[in-house]
Amino acid sequence: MTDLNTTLQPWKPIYIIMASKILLKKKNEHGFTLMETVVALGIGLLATTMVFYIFTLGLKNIQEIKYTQALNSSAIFFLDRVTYLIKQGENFDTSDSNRLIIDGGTPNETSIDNLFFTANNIDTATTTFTGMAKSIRINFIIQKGSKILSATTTIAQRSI
Amino acid sequence: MFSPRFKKSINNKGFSIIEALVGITLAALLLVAFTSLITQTIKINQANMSKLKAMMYLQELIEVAKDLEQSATTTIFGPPNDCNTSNACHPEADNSVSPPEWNLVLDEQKLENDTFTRSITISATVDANVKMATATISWHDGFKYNTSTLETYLYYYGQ
Repeated sequence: MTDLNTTLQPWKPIYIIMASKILLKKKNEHGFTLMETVVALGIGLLATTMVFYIFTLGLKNIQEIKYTQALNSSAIFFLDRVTYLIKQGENFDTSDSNRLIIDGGTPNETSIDNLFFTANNIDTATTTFTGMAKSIRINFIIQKGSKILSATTTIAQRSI
Repeated sequence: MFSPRFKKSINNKGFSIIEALVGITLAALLLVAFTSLITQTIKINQANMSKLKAMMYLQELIEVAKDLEQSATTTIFGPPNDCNTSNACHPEADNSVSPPEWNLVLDEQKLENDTFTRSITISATVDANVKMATATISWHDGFKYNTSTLETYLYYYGQ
């Protein structure tokens, strides 16, 4: 009959050392060293910063695109309206160079100034009208956010 | 001491240089694609603004011609001069008179630091009382050179 106590003897020092080694080894495989953690944090920080920077840049650019589109559409709307009124009008008063007063058209008397823009979602606007012999010269500078559109054009009166 | 399966799991713990390079390349590709997308969008937007300005400058030439049709019939329908015989001309405002008047001056005109170049030619038709005005503008929009042309007829209504 085998004496179990003599064969296994788990309390012998050699078994204790082996068990400790296995436990320690197992413990190491489930964690990270300090170096690994620092490298991972560094890479993570770098990646986060880059993504944040690109995201912010993208948002800023999208905002600028929206501003530019607002300026474009406002300028087109303004020119359509002014062209219609000048072609319809008969007498023009540009004594106040920032305001064009149109008389004789439909409606009978109307005026156009920078309020046309500021009432249509534009931050700041400057309009200048110069009465030429048979036309009105128009200069406008409009700003939305950081974007500015400056343009000069002329609308002739209708041929009689 | 360790089983082959355990050894295999140890080998899979990290990234090889190939894996790291592939990962970095993919990230770089995404970055470049995103950046170029944004850049292109901005350029297209700028191109739209340039086109709008070009159309305003072009339309202005026609409108000036329509002004001259009524206010300076001699310039348009009178004896041949530089600007009613198919030469490229451009308008200039004469502010020394009241109200200011438009004049046509020989040669094309450059605007906004040479971004836009425009000109108008007035040429004869079979009818002496009718002239053809052709306005042309060319500009660079950040991608390529563009040219647009508008035409209209000018009629002599008498003095």
